[in-house]
Amino acid sequence: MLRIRICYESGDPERTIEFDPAAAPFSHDGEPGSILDVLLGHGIHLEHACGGKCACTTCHVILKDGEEHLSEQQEEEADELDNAPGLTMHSRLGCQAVVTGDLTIVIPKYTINQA
Amino acid sequence: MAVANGVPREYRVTLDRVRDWSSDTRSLFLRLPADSPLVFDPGQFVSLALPAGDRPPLVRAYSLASSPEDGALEICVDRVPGGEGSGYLFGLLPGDEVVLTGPFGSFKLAEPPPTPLVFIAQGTGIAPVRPMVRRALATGDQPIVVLQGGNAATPMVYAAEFVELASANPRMRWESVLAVAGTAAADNPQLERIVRERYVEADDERARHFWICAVGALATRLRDLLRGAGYERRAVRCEKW
Repeated sequence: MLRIRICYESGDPERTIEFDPAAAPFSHDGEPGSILDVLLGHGIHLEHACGGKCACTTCHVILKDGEEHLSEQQEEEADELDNAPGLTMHSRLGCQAVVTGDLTIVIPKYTINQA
Repeated sequence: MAVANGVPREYRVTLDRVRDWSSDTRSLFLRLPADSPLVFDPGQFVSLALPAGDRPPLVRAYSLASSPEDGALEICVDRVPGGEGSGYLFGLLPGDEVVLTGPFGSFKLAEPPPTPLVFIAQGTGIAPVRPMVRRALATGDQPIVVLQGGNAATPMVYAAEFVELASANPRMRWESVLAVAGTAAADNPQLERIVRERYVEADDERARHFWICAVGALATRLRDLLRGAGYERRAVRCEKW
C-alpha cells in the first residue's frame, strides 16, 4: 500500500489516503495511478478542467516530500507547467505524475481555475 | 457586468442549434447568458461539467471553434464509441443547458508573431485552428499555411471555409492531406512526411511558428520532429487530445 498525505495551502484540514497502486485506474481522469486519478478515486477533489489530458494547469500540486516517488516529467507536462500560477521547483501536474511511493503534496490556494 | 479579461469562470449556456458534419461529428452552438460575455483568445478551450458517468460530474474539455467576435460559442464534437461525455453531448436537444468553465489553455494565438505561421491539424483538431487563422488574417501580413489532415472516412470540417479564406487572401494557403485508406483515424503518415520534407529538409529557415493539434502520438511526433530540427521550443505549440 502507498500513502499520500494531502495538505492545503488554504489551511483546510489535511487528509491522508492509502491505496494499492496495482488497482489503478481509480477514476475516469488523468494517467492511471496519477495523483489526480488516485485523489478522485478516493473522494478528494482536485481541479482538472481539461479532463486530465495535460492541457491546462488546474491540477497543479507542489511536492513537499517524496518527489522521487513520481514518474519522470515528460515534455508536455513541462510545457504546460510553464503556465501554472505559483510555479515552484517542486511543482507537478496531478494528472501526469504517476505515484510509485509515499508522498506529501500541497494543493495551492490559487489555481488558474480560481484566479 | 465587469469581466476580467480571460479569467476562467462558470457559465450556464444553452444549446442553440447543432450542425452535423457526419453521423459521428457534430458542431454544437452554445448561447451565453446575455449579461455574461466569455472573453477568450483564439485556440482556447472550455471545460464542461456533464451530469454523466458513474461519478458525475464528468469533466470534459472542448476547444472553441468559434472566434471571440462570434457571440455564440461553437464546439466540434466527435462521437467516441462508448464515450460517456460525447454520448451525453450528442443526446442534447436545442434548449438544453450545460455548465461550462473557461477559458483555459495556452495553445492560443492572441497576437500573431510577424513570422510565417504554419497550422497543422488532424481531424477535428482543426477546431481551435479555425479562430486562430481568422485572427491571423485579421491582424497580420505574414504568410499562413494550414495543413488539414484527415481521412476518407471522416469529414473535413470547416474545409469549405478555409478554401474561401485562402482564395480571398493570397498570403494564405490551405491544403488537405488525406491519409491512405486503412490508416487509423488518429494517424496520418502523409502529414508527417509533408511536414518533414517541407519544414525540416527543404531549407534552413527556422523562424516559422507552428501550431499542432491532433490526437495522441501524432501530435507528439510532429512536435518532436520540429523541435528536434532546430525550431524554438516555444515556437512549436502543440495541443494533444
